[in-house]
Order: sequence, then C-alpha cells, then structure tokens
Amino acid sequence: MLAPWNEEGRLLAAVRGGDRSAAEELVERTYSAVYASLYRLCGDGDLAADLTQETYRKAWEALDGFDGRSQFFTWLYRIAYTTFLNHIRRPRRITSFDEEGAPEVPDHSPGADQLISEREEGARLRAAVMTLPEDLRFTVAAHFWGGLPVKEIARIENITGVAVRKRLHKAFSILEASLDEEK
Amino acid sequence: MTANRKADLQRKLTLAPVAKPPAGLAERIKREIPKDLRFNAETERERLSKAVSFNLRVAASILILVSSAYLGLQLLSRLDEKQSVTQQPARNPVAVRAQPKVLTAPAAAKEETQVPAAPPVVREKRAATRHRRPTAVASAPVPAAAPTPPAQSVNAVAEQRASGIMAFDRVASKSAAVVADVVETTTSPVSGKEMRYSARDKKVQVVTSKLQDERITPWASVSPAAKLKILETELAAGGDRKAIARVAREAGLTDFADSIEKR
Repeated sequence: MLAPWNEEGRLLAAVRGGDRSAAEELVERTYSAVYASLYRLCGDGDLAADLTQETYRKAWEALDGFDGRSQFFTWLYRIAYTTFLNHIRRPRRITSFDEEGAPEVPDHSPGADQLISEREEGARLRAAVMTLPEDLRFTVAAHFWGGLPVKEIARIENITGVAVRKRLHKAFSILEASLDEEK
Repeated sequence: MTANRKADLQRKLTLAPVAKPPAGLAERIKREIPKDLRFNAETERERLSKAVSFNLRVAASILILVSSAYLGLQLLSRLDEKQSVTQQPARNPVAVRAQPKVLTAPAAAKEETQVPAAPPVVREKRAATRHRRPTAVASAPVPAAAPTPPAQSVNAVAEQRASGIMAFDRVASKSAAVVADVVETTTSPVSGKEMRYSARDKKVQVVTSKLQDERITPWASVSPAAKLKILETELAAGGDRKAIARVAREAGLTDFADSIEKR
C-alpha cells in the first residue's frame, strides 16, 4: 500500500495558501485510507463513509491548529478515531435487521460459509479490541488498521517508540486472554 | 504468550477486511471543502502583533499604575512629615516661645558663652530670631494666662540650643510665619519718630497717617524684635550710632549694640 502521507506536506502548504484543488487532491490521496481504517474500526461501510465525511469536516475546521509535528495523515487518523469514538459513545436508536418477520435472503454464492466465518472472527477480534483500555485500543487500531508506523504513533501520543511497542505487547496479551475466554 | 500466538494475532489484525470506499464518497467530501481555506500568514502575523502590543500596553499600564501609586504615597508621606514638623511647635506655642522670657540671667549668660563663635551677621540673625519669639507669643491667642514652664526645663532647652541644634530655630521661624500679623507702633527713642513694625513682614515704616484704632505702645513694652528692627532702620537711616547702641543695650540687644560699636 502506498503510504498516503508521503506528499501531504507539499499539498498542505498549497491548501494553506488557499488552493482548493490542492485540498481536493489531499482528499483524493487520503480518503481511502481514512475510510478503510474507520471501516476496520466500526465494521460498517455506510457508517465508515459517514464518519469519513465527518472526519474531513472537522479537519478543515481544525486545519489552522495543525502544527506539522506529525504527518498530516496521522493527524487525520486521530480525528477519524476520535470521531468514531464519539459516534459509539453517542446514545442512538439501534434498528436490528434480524427482527421477526424480516425476509430471509438465502446466500448461494460459493464460499459463503467461509466468508461468514471470517467475518464472525473479524467481528470478534474487533469487539475484543474495543474492550481494550483507551491507550492500547488506539495504539492497536492506529498501527494495524490505520497503517501508522510505530514512530508516528509515538509522535502523536508524545511517547517513545519503545512505549508504543510495550503497549502493543500488553494489548496482545489482553486480546489473547479475551479471545480464549470466548472460545 | 507464544511467538506463534502473537504472530497469529498480528496476522488476524493485519488481515482485517479492507473495504473499498463507496462511489461518490470523494465527491461528497470535496463538496464540503470550505470556500475560504486560506491560512493567511499576514492575518496571523497581524493577530500576533496585536496580541503582543496588547500585552505590552497592559504591562505599561500596570507599570504606570504602580509607579504613580508609589509616587503618590511618597508625596503623601512627605506632606505628612512637613505638616507634623509645622504643627508640632504650633500646637503648644506658648511653651516653646515663652522660653526666652523665663530664661534666667545665668542661663542666658551660659547660652551666650556656649553658642559657637559666628560672624556678626549670623549673630545678628540669631538675635533677631531669638527676639522674634516673644513677638509671636504676644500675637498668640493664648495670652499671659498660660502657665510658664519651670526654669529647669527652659534651661535644658537653652542648653540644647547652645549645643548647636539649629533645627529648633528653623522650626521656630517657620511656626512664627504661621502666626497672624502683629503690628506694633511706638515712638523711636533715637529719632523721636513714630514707627510701625509689622511682625509678619518684618518691616518698619515711619508712621505718616495713623490706622484706625492704632495705639502707640510705649518703647519699653515693645517686643525685642520690633525694637531691633526699629533700631536697624534708624541705623540705616543714618542715626546716631552711639545713641542707637545705647538704646539697644538698654533694650537687652547686646549683640546688636556690640556690632554697632565694633563698626
């Protein structure tokens, strides 16, 4: 995967100079990665799209506050992650599609069982990650689902790379215990 | 945790489904890009300079406030000091100014001997100051009924003065200025002219026309300061030196008499 933060510095300067096309290019280069990381966090395509849109909305508002200490994408990922957290914390009405009387649509595609199994496993893993303490959760999500290198996470979290690795190690231990319990 | 288990977890996390963004998401995001994206360096600089100048103004105001308060306090304290200096002798004018009156002869002699030698002009001034004090007593609202201090304390004061505390004289002269004017009219024993002495102006005038209710005080009852000034006026007008010296000696103005005779 092409690192989305490579040319962001140049584009950012143009955006700050009022170049709208640069802003569009910045969106073009980063929105897939933002969407993907949000999708991995929430597991819902529509929700991930909405959250991606909200992430950029917030990013434009906060652009003056971006000090360039970290990569733009790292900063953007932080906004996306916070947006996701705000969303899951927000009280909302949940409509279940598994209601009684709902039409059952059979899936006859090949390997459906396998897909379902993989999805279920992914959902379990995601649920386990969501139960992690906040610092560990962010570190795992940013590293594995956001594609951020350890160095960038350390920079945005104001900690050392060693501390990030320690967090990851601790998170693995908790995740293992959590997944074993489910089994 | 085994290495295999860790690797398995890492693989599962990394292999989480990567979804493609829905079509049109980029357009939706782009539509929401604000029209004014410009991060204006000039505006920022202006804002910063405004903030700095505001801070400077606040600091300057505080400095001015503090320094003016300090100056005000200094001024007030000085005024207080001045007032206390001027009021202290004025509070009990009789006690202070009556001292020369009750000076006993030995004390006066002692005073004369202990005062350090000074040029004749200074001595004259001192004599004038000394003799002015009873004038102020005459003008003071508390007349002769005021109790006279004991001779012992007066002598102590006289000793203090003799030891060179000149501040007392300055204070006395200042307090004398505060007292209201006293006019004494008398007949000069030298020229026989009627002369008017003003304690406030310290001037002597030859009486040409009498003021309303003006009474002529006998020479013997005139204050020493008035006598001294009148005799000085006579001397300046070319009066008989010997006669002036004699009258001065009779009036107790020995310093003045000596200075005339020495000339």
